[in-house]
Amino acid sequence: MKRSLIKEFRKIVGEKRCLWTPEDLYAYSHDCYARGNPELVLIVKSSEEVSSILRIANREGIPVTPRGAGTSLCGATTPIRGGIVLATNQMNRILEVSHEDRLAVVEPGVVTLRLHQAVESVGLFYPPDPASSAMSLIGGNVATNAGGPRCLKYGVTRDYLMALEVVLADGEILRTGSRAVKDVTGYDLTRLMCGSEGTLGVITRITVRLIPKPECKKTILTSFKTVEEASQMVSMIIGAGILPTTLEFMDHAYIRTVEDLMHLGLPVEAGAMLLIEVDGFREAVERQAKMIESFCRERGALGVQVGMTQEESDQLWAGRRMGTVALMRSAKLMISHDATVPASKIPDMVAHTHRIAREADLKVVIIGHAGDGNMHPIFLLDPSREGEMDRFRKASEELFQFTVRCGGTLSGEHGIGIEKNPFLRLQVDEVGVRTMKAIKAALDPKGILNPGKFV
Amino acid sequence: MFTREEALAEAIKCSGCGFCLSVCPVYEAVGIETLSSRGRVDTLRGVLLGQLELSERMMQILDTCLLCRACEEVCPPGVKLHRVLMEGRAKAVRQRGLPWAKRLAFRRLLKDRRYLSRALGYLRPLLKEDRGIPGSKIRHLPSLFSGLAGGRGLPPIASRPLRARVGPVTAPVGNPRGRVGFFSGCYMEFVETGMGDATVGVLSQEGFEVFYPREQTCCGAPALYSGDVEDALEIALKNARAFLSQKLDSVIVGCATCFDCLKKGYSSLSSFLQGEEKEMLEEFSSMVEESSSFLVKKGLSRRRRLSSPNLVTYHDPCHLSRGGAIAREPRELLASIEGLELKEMSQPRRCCGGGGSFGLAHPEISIEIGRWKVQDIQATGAKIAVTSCPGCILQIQEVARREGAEIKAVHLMELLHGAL
Repeated sequence: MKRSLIKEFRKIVGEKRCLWTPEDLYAYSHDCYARGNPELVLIVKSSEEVSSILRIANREGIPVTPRGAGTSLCGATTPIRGGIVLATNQMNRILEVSHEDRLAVVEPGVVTLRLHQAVESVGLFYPPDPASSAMSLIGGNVATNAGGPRCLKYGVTRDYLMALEVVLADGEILRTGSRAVKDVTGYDLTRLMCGSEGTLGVITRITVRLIPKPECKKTILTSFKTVEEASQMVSMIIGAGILPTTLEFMDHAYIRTVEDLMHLGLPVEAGAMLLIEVDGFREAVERQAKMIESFCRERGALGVQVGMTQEESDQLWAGRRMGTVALMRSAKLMISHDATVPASKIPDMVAHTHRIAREADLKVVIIGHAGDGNMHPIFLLDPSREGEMDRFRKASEELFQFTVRCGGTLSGEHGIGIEKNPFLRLQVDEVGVRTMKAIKAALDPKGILNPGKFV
Repeated sequence: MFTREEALAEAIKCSGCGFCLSVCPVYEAVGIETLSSRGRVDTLRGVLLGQLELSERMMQILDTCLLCRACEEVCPPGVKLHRVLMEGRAKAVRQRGLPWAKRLAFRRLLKDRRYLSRALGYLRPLLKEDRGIPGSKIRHLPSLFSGLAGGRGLPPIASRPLRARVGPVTAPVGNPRGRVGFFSGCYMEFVETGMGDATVGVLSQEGFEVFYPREQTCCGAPALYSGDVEDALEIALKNARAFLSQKLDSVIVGCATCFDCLKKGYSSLSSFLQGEEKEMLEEFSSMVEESSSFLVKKGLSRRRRLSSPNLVTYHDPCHLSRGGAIAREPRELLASIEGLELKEMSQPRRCCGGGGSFGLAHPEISIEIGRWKVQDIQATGAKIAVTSCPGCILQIQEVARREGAEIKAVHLMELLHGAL
């Protein structure tokens, strides 16, 4: 990048927030998936700064990759075409929490967990809870439409957006939506921006809808001989009119591997484990938990444990939370997919994933959010084994083909980024691609925003 | 200390997930990823792999870590950042040498209490509390001479060092239960000598004969944590010799940083030695015990109570809670004091921002981090923050004064000593 341009950018953000030493570029070159080669890092503090930066970048055709906490699992925030990394983490004010209107207005750099704490302290609730919520930023959550375990009952980030402020590629500031819960005025630009992975604009202000905080919750851990039995259990629970907050699934391979590593006393003979959570008013939660417990016993569950207190609930979660950590430590490389299928296809999906892995000589364990069909096949890889990464790529493609075939999707919550970009066309047909390209061309004609992603 | 291979093995474990960003105090204070836990591991890996150089910026990256190790606790793949960082600092010393002021301090003053004592004697009249920023003091006395005091004032030196007040041997009160050594550390030796009095006092109250060898010197943490292996080794051996000349059950330390250095630091330093010297350092290191943990292991023989009921909160020094996994013991001792109520703050294990000479080199960051700690203490309603590290005490006192918070930070041993 020309020095005169760097000077121009530095004038906008000041010396301290304009970084270009090799070390700074290195630290901002990657997310959890891949590394790029940025030429300049700009840390922004206001929509006006973002607007001024984009005006110049657009004039000069310089790529701009917006960045939250850099926790993407698919390379969504990797600056693969160089240019500017636009870091939003210092735009971190919670501007308003309105009890009456049940909404919060925040800047994109607010850590999701901080938003949770702020609204819960006044009896409100913001449900989306991606596994990264302790460090990921709400702006990144919106840009990737983040999910999490609570989505079965409460939905994903998209379902809580009311309004956005977005700086477009040419520096114009777009305001979408309103503070009204019902709003059908014009195209739904709010939801167009959500999940666009920074390819259509830079999100600078977010208004989220809040709901009352549930009074209490209960956790149930149960296991079954086969995946089919566990799957029938899921249908039975929902069929009885219970919508659990969380319905986490763990397969036999996961249970065995984690038990070998951690000796938690998990039922190694089980084909599948289910971790179920219900929340709401105390009386309702107790009744639902009792119903689930009796369903499990009726259906010949291998074991049922109910957590009454937070402490007991944490213990029941241990196998799920600490298990993935143990896997990460045991494997040279761990890659988790998030292919998602309709709930009825879960047994097929599990069986098929294991078949693909066996044929490709790869190690895989499966967990997932069973209620919404969002499965996480976790591949435990050793890149030093000959051909392992090639076999993994091929297996991934087969897996994606399968999920699309049964009416599912490549990605339920991690996003497309650069990881799944080559597979986009498995799911999106010619018309779909053309439509996406038309949207991109209309909003970012020079293609400066997070180039190389999507279409 | 760690080899390049050990450091690289740690660094390549990092998956870039960013969980550590949720706990890195420096990242929260500065908001720049390069100066975060993940940024440090990442760029240091770059250096170890030869993709980055030990540039000025790299020196800042190395220098702005508090070594609080909070990141290590939440890291899913279990990266030990301090190993990577220490190798980075050692590499910097090997390649670039030490700055002259540090060289003078580490080569002369740290190694012999007589030099340090004399130098402090000359300085004492100059070190009034109103110098520099009002009410601020510095930690790690030897750094005083290394021109690092940037923006922060200097500590008042005690008119008589601890050794002029506590004899080489202190007799036990009541039935003798054993013989222990006392490692004072610079701060208890020259500044807050009352904490030293109290530590020796409690040990004696509890029936231990306390041996206080005069040949001991600074623990060497300033040299070790700066990556100066050579001087750290010389200091370590000097301390080991001072204590091993006597028959002792244990060596008791009242400063969390000294404890971490003597326990973990010396045992890793011993890998640079061979034969008798290696054995000697390992033996010494294995004898080292932190005061609260030692007392809990032995069991308190006397009941203690406060004259008037009091509410306190406890701050976990990083070097104890994470370095030595000692967090339960101080709380047990507090619980044993009648009339004392412990109210936990929301994040007792969060670093206070002191970090040895960090507070001198980066006063703005250090004070910003200290502010959260002081606010957390205030929220408990307690007026007394108890802890087990003179460095944390210094930092909390200073930031509280700046913030106008009515909080007193005291050493656990002072509280125990006064409660009999």
